[in-house]
Amino acid sequence: MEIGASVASLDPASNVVNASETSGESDLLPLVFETLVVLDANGVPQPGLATSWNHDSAARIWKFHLRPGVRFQDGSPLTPDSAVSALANVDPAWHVSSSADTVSIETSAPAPDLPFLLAESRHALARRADDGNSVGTGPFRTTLWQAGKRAVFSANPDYWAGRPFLDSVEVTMGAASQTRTIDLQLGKADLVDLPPDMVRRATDDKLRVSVTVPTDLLALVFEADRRAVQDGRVREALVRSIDRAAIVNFILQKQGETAASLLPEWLSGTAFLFTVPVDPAGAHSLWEHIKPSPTLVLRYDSDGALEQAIAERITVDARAAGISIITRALPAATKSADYDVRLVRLQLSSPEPRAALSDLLDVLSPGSSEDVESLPNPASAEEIYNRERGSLDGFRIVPLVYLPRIYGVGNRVRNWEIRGGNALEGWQLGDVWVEGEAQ
Amino acid sequence: MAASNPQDARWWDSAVDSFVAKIAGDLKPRAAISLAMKNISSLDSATVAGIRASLEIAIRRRGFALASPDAKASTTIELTLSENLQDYIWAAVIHRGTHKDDEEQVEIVSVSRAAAVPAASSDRAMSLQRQIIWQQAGKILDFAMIAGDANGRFALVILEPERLAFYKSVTGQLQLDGAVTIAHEKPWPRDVRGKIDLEAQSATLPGVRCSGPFDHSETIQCSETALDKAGIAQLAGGSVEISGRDVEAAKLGAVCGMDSVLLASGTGDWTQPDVIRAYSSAEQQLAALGTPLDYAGPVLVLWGSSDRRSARVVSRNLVTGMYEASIVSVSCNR
Repeated sequence: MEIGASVASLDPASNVVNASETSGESDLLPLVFETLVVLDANGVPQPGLATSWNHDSAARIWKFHLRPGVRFQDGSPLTPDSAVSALANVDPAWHVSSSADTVSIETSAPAPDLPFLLAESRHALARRADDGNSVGTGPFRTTLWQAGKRAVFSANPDYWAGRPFLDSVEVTMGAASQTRTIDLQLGKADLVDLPPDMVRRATDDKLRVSVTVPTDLLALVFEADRRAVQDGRVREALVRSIDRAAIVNFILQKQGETAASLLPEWLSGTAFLFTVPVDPAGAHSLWEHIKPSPTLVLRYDSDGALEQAIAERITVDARAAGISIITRALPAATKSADYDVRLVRLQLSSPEPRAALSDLLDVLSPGSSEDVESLPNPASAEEIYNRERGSLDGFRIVPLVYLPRIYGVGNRVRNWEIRGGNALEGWQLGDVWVEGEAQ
Repeated sequence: MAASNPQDARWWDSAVDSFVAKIAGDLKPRAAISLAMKNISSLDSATVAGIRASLEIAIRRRGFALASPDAKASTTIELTLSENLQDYIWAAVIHRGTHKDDEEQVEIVSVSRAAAVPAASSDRAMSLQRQIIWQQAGKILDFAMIAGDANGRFALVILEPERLAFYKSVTGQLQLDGAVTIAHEKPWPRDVRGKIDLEAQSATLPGVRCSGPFDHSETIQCSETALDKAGIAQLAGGSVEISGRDVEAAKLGAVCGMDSVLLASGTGDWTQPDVIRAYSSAEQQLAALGTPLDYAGPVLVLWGSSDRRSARVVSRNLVTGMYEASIVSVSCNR
């Protein structure tokens, strides 16, 4: 396997800021770590490390019955106490305790969506082994980890759901997209992730390409305290100048979708209700009335080639509408306030609309996710839609495009599949086998 | 979850009622409405037509007039049938007035997709028929039906990786009547198989055999057995090579004037829809017969019945995620 991301560490609780690394890490995590609950392709919670669960009438006190006979990869058994240790510090609003074969989670407010939250990879159960590394209960165990470069995972013979068919999985990280494509073509790699601009070449070369539903959102976020963007007309002018379709057609090579809402259609079912017209003339007219007009600074992640191409396209569109704008490339982790608007790439965290919206707003508009928390739980499609609509009023947050994950899959790979909501769950390689290899 | 036929009920009726109640609150009494509908969901055209007909009736019942699409109506409703993973979403944009900038309102209702899963089609004129016996979220290795008692009640045995479950029919519904836990030292292989032998009153898994009278499940005992080649071969079932791949197969007896018929699955993997097709096997050459039976996911197990008239099939429905136990039988087109 070859991926473009350089993943520093494999830890469910890590807080990665680089979008590319987030994507790489979430692909690899399910090889080693598992959650109490898993979501099927339709987004419905199914038993994972918990075989069943129940809750009180207020959906505040939940009991999860642990699957018997599960062991961490260091040989220690999965017990209610070890599950409690893994989950204890995940969410300060949870009180986690154990009894007999159950893990109890008590939440401060009703949480009917708790199974969905527990299915997120950040809630996977990990244990700190004697050597200081994190071990999980998944189908593979880490036998080599060279941060950001290479990893080897070997089949876990004691895996509770049966030993995976593959003996081992070798992952090369940080490989250039050209290299990944060529290696796939030559049979040196069986699975690679591909950037959108390599898809046409891959399909022309008769390579098998697997494209998921949209999993990432690219959006502009205006800085609340920057004087240059206090005037709503400034924000609106920039938004109206951007030709999203051109970004999808030319930069993404049609491997994405224009976005006018935060949640994509497959997740909310209401994305089609949001529209943002391309209106360079209107943008020009708005901008002409702003006196004095500012020069906007657009920040993007210097580690992302795609982000750079899109930022440059935005400046082309903006300048065509008479808007003065410059770009600034900074590493994702750099704390700097010297910009007016930022291009961000965010990965959807959950196939459950309320949880996904809450996590997006947590990053895009810190503080406003509390408004989502105040939504009924579960929230209706209409309530989600209204909250989403409200968060986009005023052009502070501007969705641009949705991106899928794209994989090149070797022709001898069997049982490879990412369907529907499973796109957010990363690689599920337990059932995969490679034709012609001794299994 | 037992098999049911939700198509018997028009699942969208309650959604139509709540939808029309919602939009009625936004409209003037006796308003003339122009209704435009668009389907971007996975619903088929027949279902969409049914929804439209129900909507029109419900709108008229509320006292509104439906204008023809060409006529100028004071209110236009643009209804889009959409969906997300869990629900069908019906979203209406209501325009009041005839100008583009006039007031606009959005109303949304959702219907659980779980309540609207259509049953597999069984009315096609084919030589193979499929009867779904049971479906459940957990893995099924094999199943067997035990003939009815004096009251016509029958029992169903489901072999799962961790238990042998016994269901009895009570007033037409199958209810869990008992279960035998299957203890095993080591984790099962990932592609674990198992087989029920009704005549021997036993169920076999790799290295484990459970036996005892199936009508007294509490007396069934499971014990470890030697995991020899013969045992593994017995669980492997029948196979045949089609298009260069070994696929599941079961040989049936004389039917439709032929000495025997072979039923075989398709050549896809576990991520793909599958088929079961009948073949004649005269002169060592397989010749496909009739129309294949479509499955919404892989056929995992295909065993011929002891009377060689039908086959029992375990498959996984990739749309619903459920494992399905079904009986496939052959009939002759006349």
